[in-house]
Amino acid sequence: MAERERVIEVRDLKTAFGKTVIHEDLDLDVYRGEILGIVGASGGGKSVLLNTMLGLQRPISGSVVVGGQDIFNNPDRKWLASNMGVMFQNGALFSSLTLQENVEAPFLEHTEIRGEFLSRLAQMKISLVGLANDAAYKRPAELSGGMKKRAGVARALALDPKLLFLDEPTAGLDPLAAAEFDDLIVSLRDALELTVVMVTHDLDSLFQISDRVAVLADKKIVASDAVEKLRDSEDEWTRSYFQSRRARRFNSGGN
Amino acid sequence: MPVSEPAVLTENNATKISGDWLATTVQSVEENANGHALAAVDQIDWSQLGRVDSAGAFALLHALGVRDLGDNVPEQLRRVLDIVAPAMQEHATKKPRKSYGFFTGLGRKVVTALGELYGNIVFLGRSEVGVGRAVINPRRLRVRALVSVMQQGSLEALPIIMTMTFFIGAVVALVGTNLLQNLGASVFTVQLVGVSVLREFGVLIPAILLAGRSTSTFAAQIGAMRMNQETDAMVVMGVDLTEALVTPRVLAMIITLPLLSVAAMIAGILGGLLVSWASLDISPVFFVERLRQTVDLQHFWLGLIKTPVMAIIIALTGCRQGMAVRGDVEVLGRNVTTAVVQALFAIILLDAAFALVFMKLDL
Repeated sequence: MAERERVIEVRDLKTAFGKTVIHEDLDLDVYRGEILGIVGASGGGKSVLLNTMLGLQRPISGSVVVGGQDIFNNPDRKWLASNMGVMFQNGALFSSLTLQENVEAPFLEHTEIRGEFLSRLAQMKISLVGLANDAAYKRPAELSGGMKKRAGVARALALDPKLLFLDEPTAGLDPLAAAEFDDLIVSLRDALELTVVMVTHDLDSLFQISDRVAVLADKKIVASDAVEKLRDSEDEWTRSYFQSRRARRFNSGGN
Repeated sequence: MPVSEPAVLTENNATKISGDWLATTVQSVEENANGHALAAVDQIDWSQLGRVDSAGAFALLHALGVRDLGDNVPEQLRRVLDIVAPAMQEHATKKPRKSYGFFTGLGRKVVTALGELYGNIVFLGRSEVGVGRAVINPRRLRVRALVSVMQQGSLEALPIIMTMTFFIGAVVALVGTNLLQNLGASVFTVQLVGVSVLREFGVLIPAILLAGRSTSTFAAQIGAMRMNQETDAMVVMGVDLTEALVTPRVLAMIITLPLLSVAAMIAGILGGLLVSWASLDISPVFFVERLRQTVDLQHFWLGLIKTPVMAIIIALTGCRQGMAVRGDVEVLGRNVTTAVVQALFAIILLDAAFALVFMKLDL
């Protein structure tokens, strides 16, 4: 594999809450333009890893470099804010604002775009993620779970960030909606040259759209490779994950 | 990376697009976008085009007033356009307006208020039944919840309540001394402190403090449980919400508010005693002696008899507003505020009502 540009470099990460060590000696690379899935046991620290990459959770030691910025050592916050987008598990929409105002918020914060053009732009973003027009003036409390997720993506994508983080993007969606969501992520990646990091348990998503999957087990990344190759991984947990009954139906050729 | 301003140039029937079309740069284009005489889209010169993001592509379509830019567009723009163009609408959707005429608005307010009143009455009835059941059949009572509320809601408020009434007793003594000294009747300060603290401040101050402290806690706790669907889970499990959430809080307040009041009365009288000792040279022994002679015990009971009513108001407004939470954080915040305001209002109003009744009864 040719040397590709690394967008995120996590090195020797150690995170702990009190005496509970979550990550130790964790290394992870994310390359430009790829869709990276992160899998791991429930409660194994996937969300903590995501929060660390977002700069929300300060590690005990180790470094996280995003786009050349060490995010725990005096980074250019403005650059990071307009180049990283995140969709949290339940959307994390601002509950006092309408959907449209949620999508407008990043523009108001980081650009000079205002007025009628802003409304139309926000509505374009909203229909970009497959939400109907009349949803624009609804409050988050009036939206269903799937709509909140889409709205969360619309807000995350507002400024065309280079990096999109998704926390359980398809959890709680029906299979059709989940498949549409996968297609959406791929088409957005292709059009906007995004790099996508998604924490997920959805094997469909992993097999359909991820370029690589990183496996978080035993406090570190034990394997990261294309999903088909992980079945024959040397790591036992990874093997059992991808050879589990649920994963077996994706094994092509019936081996 | 340096950014160049985006621009649309029209010369000799040729249109040239240049610069970086990004969310951070397109505002300047937007301001002078109108009225470009556009050549056929196929003949646009794209050679000076820099980077394009989705907001930029949107602005470009907007500025040119078209939805399709033909087949000659550069590859990067093509891909962005492929997702932007289908998502574009001709016009911004207008915000649906919810405005009513004066009478419609008034009518809605009245209906809402009546509904609120009805809800309050139903809630009061349910709570009475719940508390009654717990008293008749103590095994239904959730002792752990009760004790926990008693500790968090009341015991932990004891220091602040005693401090506040101590200072109020002191202030009453100070003001009384000044006034009564002019009349040569400074010894009546003892009576003033005794009556005012026992009848009013010893009850009112704890009640007001708990209205701020416990009412808001109850509303927020129960409201958050509603938002988190915890109450729904309880209903499905067959747990009676009144029994589990309301009864322990009401009983905890009914039990502890009189106790807090007694503590507050002691602190208030202590405050008065110290000030009298310092400024009037009334010795503590004489103060207590004087208190026993002049202040009838009935003032103590008249103060104390108000506490269960105040306790019920404190607990019920909090629980009721918490139960009424639906939906988002906004509603939660509003209901907590409503609960505290209602509780404070009701406490002051009832205290005035008690004062009137006691006066009529010559107590």
